[in-house]
Amino acid sequence: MVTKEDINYFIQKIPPTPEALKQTISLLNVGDLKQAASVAENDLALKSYLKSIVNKPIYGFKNEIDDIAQIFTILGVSQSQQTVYNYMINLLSPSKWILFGLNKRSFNELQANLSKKWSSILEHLNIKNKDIYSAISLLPSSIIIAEALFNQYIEDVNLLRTTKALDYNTILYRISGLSLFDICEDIAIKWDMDKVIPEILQSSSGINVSKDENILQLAKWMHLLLFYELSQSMFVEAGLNDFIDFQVEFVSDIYDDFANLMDIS
Amino acid sequence: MKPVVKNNIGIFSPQGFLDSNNNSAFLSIDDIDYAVKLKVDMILVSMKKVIFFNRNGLDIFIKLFLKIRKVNHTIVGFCDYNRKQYDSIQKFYKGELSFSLFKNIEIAYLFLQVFLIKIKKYLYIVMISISVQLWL
Repeated sequence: MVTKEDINYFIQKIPPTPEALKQTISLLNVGDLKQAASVAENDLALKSYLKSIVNKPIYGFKNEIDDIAQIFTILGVSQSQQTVYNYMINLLSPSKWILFGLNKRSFNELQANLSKKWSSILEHLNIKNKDIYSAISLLPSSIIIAEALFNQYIEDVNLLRTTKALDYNTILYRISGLSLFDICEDIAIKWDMDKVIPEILQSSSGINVSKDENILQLAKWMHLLLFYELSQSMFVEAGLNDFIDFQVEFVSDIYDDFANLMDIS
Repeated sequence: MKPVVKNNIGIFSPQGFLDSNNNSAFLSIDDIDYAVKLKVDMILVSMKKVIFFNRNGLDIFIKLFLKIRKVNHTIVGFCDYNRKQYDSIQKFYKGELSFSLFKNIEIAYLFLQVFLIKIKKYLYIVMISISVQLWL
């Protein structure tokens, strides 16, 4: 089963932020969309990622958007930064998924859905902080970590999961004393993300919750949004529905508001 | 999704939202075959971690229940529901409830064959000891 060495190896393997991305993010941080776009233009992989994300149906644009400056202008500072962070997380995703039935396309779909809906939630809550917009980007990294750590132990994990109702987060915690979210936090620190991002994410596990009321509220929305998304057919089939434990009571006080916003009836 | 087997009960534990968009995703043909072949006394679907469901969302599990009951006489049904969920299930399947409802897994255990046999044995012993006491 997963060892501490596996975890340390995974953390060591996280690459430092590429220079072009660092520059793009710091330009977005000061609101210089034009300059950020011209830096992003030079990174072909980032350019192609931004185009593929923004042209997904969930963004609802009629014509294909091709130009990076145009993409950043349409998205605005907060969502542009969020999308660049999504790209960074995407760099960690495996070329071939083994544990979960995902591929590059479906993982990007999950990122796009979470980001777009998180933006709607923040608009609904009247929150404009761009770091909070970006907090959602780190969430799918928990899936990448579970895939990276458990894919060599599929048989052991399946055996364990047919006799005990254990999610990957609990298995990892019992083995190593670390949760998937602790490792996400390591990624955030290594990539110099604002400290509010891992704080919301840790709290969104529904286990290690923040005492700060504002962060706690956001964490509840994030937890419920994750399970709303993981209940979509594509992700249930990928085996993601029960990869971490859904804490129904943690989100019960915001459920009605969430259901109204997502038009669930 | 595969059931977790504990104390002769196979339990499915879906999480989140169950509706017409995802219902068939929860159970593949393999999962259904696996559940049908399980040598257990009960197959249950736990509603503990379901926050929203409608009739379409439950239908795939009802189909599974029917298939299991056709093949063997395993008890099938839902468990770990709250009052609101119980009322919804009653409303959706009014007059056509072909499955069991157990408020929680502990109550379901009381209806297991193994437990019923134990109770019968216990009652038998109690009755004999009463008869012996009366005879003395």
